[in-house]
Amino acid sequence: MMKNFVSVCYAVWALIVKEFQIIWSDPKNRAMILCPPVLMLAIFAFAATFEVNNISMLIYDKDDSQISRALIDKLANTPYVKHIDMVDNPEELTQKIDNENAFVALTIPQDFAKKIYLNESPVVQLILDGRKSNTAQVVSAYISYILASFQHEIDGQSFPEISVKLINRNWFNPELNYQWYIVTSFMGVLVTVMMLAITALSVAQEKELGTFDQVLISPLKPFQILIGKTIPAITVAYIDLTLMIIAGHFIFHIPAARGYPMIYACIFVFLLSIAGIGLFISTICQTQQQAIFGVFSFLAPTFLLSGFITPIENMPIFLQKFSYINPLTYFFRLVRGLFLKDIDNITIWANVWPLLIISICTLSFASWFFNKKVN
Amino acid sequence: MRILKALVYKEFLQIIRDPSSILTAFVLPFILITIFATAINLDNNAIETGLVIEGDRGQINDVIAAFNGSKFIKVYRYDNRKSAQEALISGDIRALVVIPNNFAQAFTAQIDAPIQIITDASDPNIALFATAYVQGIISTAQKIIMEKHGYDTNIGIRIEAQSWYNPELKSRYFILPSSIAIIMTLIGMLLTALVIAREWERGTMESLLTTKASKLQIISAKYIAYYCLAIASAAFCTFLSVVIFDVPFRGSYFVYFITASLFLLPSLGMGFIVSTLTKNQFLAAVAAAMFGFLPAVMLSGGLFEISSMPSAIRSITHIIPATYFIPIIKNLFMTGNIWPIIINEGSALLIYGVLMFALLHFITKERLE
Amino acid sequence: MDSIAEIKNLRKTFKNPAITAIKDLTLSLPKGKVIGLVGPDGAGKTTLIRLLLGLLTPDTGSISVLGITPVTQTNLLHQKIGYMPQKFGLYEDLSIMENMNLYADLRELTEEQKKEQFEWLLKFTDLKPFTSRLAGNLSGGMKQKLGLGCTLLGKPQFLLLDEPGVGVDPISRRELMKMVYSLRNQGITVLWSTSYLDEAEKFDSVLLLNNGELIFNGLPHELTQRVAKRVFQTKQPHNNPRAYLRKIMKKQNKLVDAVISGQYVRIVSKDTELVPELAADFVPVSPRFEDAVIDILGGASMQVSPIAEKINIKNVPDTVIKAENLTKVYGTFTAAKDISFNIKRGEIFGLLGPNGAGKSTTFKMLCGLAKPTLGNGYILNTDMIKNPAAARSHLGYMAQKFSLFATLSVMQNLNFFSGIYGLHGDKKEKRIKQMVEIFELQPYLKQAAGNLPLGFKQRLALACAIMHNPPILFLDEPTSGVDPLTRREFWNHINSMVEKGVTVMVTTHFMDEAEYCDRIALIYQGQAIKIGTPDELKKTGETMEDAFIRLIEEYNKGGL
Repeated sequence: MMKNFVSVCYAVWALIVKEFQIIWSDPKNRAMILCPPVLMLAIFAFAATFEVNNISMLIYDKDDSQISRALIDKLANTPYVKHIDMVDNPEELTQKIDNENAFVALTIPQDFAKKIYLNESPVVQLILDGRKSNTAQVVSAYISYILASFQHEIDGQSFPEISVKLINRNWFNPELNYQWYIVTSFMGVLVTVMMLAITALSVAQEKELGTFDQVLISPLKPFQILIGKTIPAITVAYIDLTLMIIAGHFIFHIPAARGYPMIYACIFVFLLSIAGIGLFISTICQTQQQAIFGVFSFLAPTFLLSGFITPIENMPIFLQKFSYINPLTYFFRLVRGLFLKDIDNITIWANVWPLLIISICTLSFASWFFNKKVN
Repeated sequence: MRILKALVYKEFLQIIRDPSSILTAFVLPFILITIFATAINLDNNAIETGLVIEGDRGQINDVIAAFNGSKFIKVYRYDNRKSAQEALISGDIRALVVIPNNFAQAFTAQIDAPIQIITDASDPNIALFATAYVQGIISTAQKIIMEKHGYDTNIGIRIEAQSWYNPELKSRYFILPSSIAIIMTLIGMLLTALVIAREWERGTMESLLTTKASKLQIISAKYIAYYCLAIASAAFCTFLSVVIFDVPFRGSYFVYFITASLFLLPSLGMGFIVSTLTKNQFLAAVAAAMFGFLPAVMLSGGLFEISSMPSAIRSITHIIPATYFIPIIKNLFMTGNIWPIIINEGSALLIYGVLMFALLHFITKERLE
Repeated sequence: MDSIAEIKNLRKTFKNPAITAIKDLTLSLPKGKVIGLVGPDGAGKTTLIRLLLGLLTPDTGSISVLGITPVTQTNLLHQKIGYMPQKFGLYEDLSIMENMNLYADLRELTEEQKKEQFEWLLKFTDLKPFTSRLAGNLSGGMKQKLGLGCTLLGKPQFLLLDEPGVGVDPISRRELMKMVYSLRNQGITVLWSTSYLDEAEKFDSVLLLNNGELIFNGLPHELTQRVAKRVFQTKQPHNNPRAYLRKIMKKQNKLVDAVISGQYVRIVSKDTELVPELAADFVPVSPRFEDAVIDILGGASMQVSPIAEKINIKNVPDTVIKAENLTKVYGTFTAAKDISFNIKRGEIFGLLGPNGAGKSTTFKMLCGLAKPTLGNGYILNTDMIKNPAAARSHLGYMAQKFSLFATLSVMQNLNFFSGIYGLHGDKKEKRIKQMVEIFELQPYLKQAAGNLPLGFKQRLALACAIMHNPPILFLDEPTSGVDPLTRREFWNHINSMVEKGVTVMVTTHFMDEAEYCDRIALIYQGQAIKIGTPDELKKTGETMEDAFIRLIEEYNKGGL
């Protein structure tokens, strides 16, 4: 019995070594595994932001008074506005907004200065480009704020001092560093792509080449063959992750609040769940083309519904339910918690056990299905 | 011409016989459009926010009412700071507002009354929005209180804001058109990434090369067939967006058809090139995800504003075909035919497409060496 | 005599891997003949065909086909010739009619021409009843006919066929031959590359290439004349022809070739006079083309395979493989029906039959790659359904396409296949070392398996299959597309192993290989229509191929 167990271990080890040798033997494969994480981090880390700056603004100043020019001056000196264009007629204004030459237009009425002197309320018209609705919301808030403080300045202190002071603290990321968010999220996304490629697609490829039959005909049991696919995929994922973690640490100075051992340990459960899904896809697909369809039908929704682009609580209830079985959702909570927040063990466990259940279900189903098909 | 026709017909037959290409062209877009339409929502309504009131709440009912009444945040009450902070750490809430003991007192004493907001900046976007929303709520509360004290708060500059093209600022209206561009990038690459490698693998390329068919005809036939499939897929996506998800379409469908065709030219070209270079379905699929789908989501300006990116990244966005198509498609849906945009971006797509075709023609071999 | 192609001082080299495929070839191909192109693997047959087509550019030298220079006037040339590549160049997801339509349009036939030629071709190829069937669902023989049909569209004057018979059964190959001859009678010239030398015997003229050089150009029987009076066969049938073969192989310096033929042994001697010890046992028989080819190529290796010394089969029962009423149903199609046989220890058992008859299905059920719908298989008394992993651990398996990992090196492949059978430590190293020695793989250890010469790929595949010292070997068309010298060497190893008690189950389309088997099951329409020794299957004077075709025809008549 013992001897048998040792042989099985060596057999699985042979499967694992082979997988690495295949990846390493082809320079294209090597490039595909090592380049994307680095490249993508270098580019995407800087791309994804909902921050608004560099706004182009139009001003149609019908008043052309000292006060209106003072307002324009104030607007021009705010950091959000990149440049201001003056227009002379509403047609030009419309055209420039239509053509996306400017994002926002402010029309200052003829009686602007007069009304301010008379202590009446002048009405300025703000036109926003609703084609980018979230930017419009943010810009509208900025401009109201600027106008209010402008009012404050010209009024002097005409209100009594009933005011509320907001003290703002941004925890876990005091400087609101976007890269911290993107880098931690992309660890999950890139690793998911790699893992699915290695598990689902490589099995399909081996089926087409006939080498899978060779493995099937060996005395290995299906779950042993699955282990032989899982471990290399997880190892490659760890290599990619380590590259990204090094970049995160040295380039972006991401803290590792719970320490790296805990981070590496928790990630393992996530990787296991993705490997399970990849192998599950591979068992139900015969050709690579089917596997590719399977991988993308899983990958795209998982990525979009993970809470990375848009918070899960904003989604309709039936899609929020999907996040209970979405490994990326748990991964995002875990990595952000582990890297930035110093979450406690209870919170970690709360996100780890669902991943464990996903892994157990997918791996055992893959193994069962595989078994059924082979025999 | 007859040769081309025969080759195109052959490609069509192969498409029809292969269920996975039909699935990729129609089922995958269906899933994606549905998700983009229902789940991707940049309006950020209802951020889950904790509220801790440390003092006597009787005197600050107006402030609490303002929080409870806001549609931008969803208030969770906590008894003390500690439990609320724990909730923030575990991710149950995204932001935490603390109204301290001395608030009411400071308020009545007409000193700056402090309110503290702590955000979970591990997602900086939400942190920013939460701060802005709370700021808004507080100024509303302030106004109400001042009115109660008999001040006229209507004095001052009033803003009459309008959002053109999308008065309700529904993010779905701009996300769906952009998502069509993103989906088409992915579909275009997935459909084409395998087709050239397949001809070599099965030895049929060798047969084709010994007939009258030229390299140009073989490539063109593939372009035409997969263009038709992809444009049908695009039409399907548009149908879903306009009819099912109720996004307005204000431009001309003819212009849409022309520009979408121009967009498919470089997108399909990229897929064919990947297929020719990798000659391997495994690599082609990874490349489609890494260099097709993710850049289209992240860098094309569909979800993230290009003007807010650093300038080095802004120049990278120019190598993504979707970057040129998104302004066109967004305007066709929300504004109408904006000719300067259509002509500028359209000609960029055309040039890009022709370059890709030329590159493909260059790297396709006529001989077996 | 008019010539269809002129080749002068042709030379072609490749860079990766660096080889000289054609060395200074000068040649003229006669018009209106069926010209066979034969030679060992890597001789340059495919390269020559591709050069003639303009698919490759020569390094130096000139080619003229029908007065046209292939590389510069490719388009003009392609209007006048037809080409069938290996694997037939068909679109598997298109129907017969759609494939024909495509190739007709690509040759710009008019509607009338199309109509006329389709009618003729469908009749000619007997494919008329199946026009709407997808090419992928056709048997190898039908694919081959369709491939030929597609190349004939546009009435080419010169037809180039690259190994059309690989993986195709003898009946279909015989039909193809008939078709090609009727084409020749209409004035078409045919260049036909093949590894079936019994086919080559029937050609009008034969080119024999070796290492990129032309070593024979002439009539097949002229070549066969080389070995006239040097071919002999045993007078008496032997109970153990393998032992006898091994005995006479010690006379290696006197022999060019020695093979088993049923219960007889057939030899090609170096001289017309046999040495006295042999003379008593042997009688002269008529030579074959294959004998001459082996002779001109320097003779088959007469070394006794060192493999036998390393094999140690213990505790194997008398009945090693048992098939009990094996039946496999796919949907409404019965691929195998009620197939039963027993294979004894140390037996070579052949599965023969036309393409699509159920050979592979039977094979797969017995090695655990397919689960029988009904019936069961037993390997060393282990139930294939109940305990598949244990049953499989007794098997060595060599697949049709030599399913090795192409990008891995020879050593990595050896390590892998020894590893998955649980070998490790010293035992593993020792075993790998043995394999490297036996199969002379030393110089190739670091080379990627995909870049090996075909013969070495086959050696490596066999090495990988027997790594764990299995008492049973499953060989699925192990010699498909392989030249006769390499096949001799392969069977030399197999025979040695069998003598040591290894049991072999094999499928093949080479009829001479069928003669190496102790018993054969002829599978047709999913059933074992005949099981017996090669000599029981053959009637007096019949070749194996004749017997094969006769038995199937008899069954068809009986079935009606």
